[in-house]
Amino acid sequence: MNKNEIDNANKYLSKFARLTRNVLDEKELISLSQEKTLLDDYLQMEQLRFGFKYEINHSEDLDLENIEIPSMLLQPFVENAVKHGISKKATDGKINITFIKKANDLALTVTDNGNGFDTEKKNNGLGLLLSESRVALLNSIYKENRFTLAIQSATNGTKVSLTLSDWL
Amino acid sequence: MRAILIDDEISNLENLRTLLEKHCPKVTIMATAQSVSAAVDAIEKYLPDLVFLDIQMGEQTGFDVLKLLPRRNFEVIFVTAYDQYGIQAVKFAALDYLLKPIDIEELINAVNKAEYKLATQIQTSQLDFLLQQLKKTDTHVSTIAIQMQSETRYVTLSEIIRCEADNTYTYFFLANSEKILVSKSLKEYADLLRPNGFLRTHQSHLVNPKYVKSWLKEDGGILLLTSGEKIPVSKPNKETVKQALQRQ
Repeated sequence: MNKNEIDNANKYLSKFARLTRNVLDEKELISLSQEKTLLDDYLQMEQLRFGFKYEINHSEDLDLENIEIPSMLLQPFVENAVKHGISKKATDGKINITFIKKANDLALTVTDNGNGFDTEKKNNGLGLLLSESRVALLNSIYKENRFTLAIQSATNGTKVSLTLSDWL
Repeated sequence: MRAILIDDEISNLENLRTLLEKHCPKVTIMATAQSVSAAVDAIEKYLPDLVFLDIQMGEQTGFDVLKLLPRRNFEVIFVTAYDQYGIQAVKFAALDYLLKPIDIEELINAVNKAEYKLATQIQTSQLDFLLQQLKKTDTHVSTIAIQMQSETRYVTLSEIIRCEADNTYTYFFLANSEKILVSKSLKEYADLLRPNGFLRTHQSHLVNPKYVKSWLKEDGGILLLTSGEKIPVSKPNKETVKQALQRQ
């Protein structure tokens, strides 16, 4: 804004507003395309600060407009990928997000090439703990569908996989 | 396109003017207005093609501007900072709106749509429909406007049997066996019609419970409609659909 980049300022302000509205909105379910837009908005804003690269990919045969998922499902993992994953790597940082159709399952993954963390350690931060409780809560609501959370982390990166069994 | 901008805050008017001048060269700004009475005067004086109308204007609303005009033969793009007030009625009337702060791409899209409607001279009564909806004291909606290629259809919710997704398009199946194609996603209609009891049974299906005849147990769950059609219920939606039907 101070450099008179008015169009850019406008772009980020309206993205930020859209993200905030979504967080504050009480909608339980959003479409995959809305989720993609929000992650895009968020990552573009963080990109301004850290300059990493990112990609959001999905299976060709996924109907993004019409498949719904609980809102804010991936956001905390993507925030972790930025904050703990690639924030120290500047332009070498890379985040990959995928929405994959595996038969009737929907697999969502967030991968970063940061330094990883010890998945066994208990005090890994509140975000992860809250996400685990959220998954447990979702499993009690959607009885026949299992939400499975798997986290693999090594010194060359972290991969979070969230599988929604029999979702499609 | 001759346009008038209406907003009670001067900074919003300046911001919108800057965006329009830079990104929408076809729009000529005839006047701006900061109050309901000034807006009515400006519209009657300049007879614009397009009006950008703020919804919340102090104690009054942009809807008051429309109510006071004897003729409403112009396109309206609503502009609002609130995602709530009156926006539901605007959606049911299939009218265009922008949320503040204004996104440049959304602005360009809305202007292009208005230009198309003006060029093809589609005569619609969507604004009348909107004002009628707002007049109703209860929040119960019984009719929805459906914007088609060359006309706007008003459909009562009770005559909609079901909706089916076709990518970003939606088919409406009506009680008189008519089938209407609309260029909006099923998700948008699901969000609009769920509060009215419509059931999202599947990623591609939205059903009016009024037309459900029975629940078949084959293939994990199928709804048999009074029309004889069978609609799948996907696993994630099973519990909610069951509960909703039991409550009927």
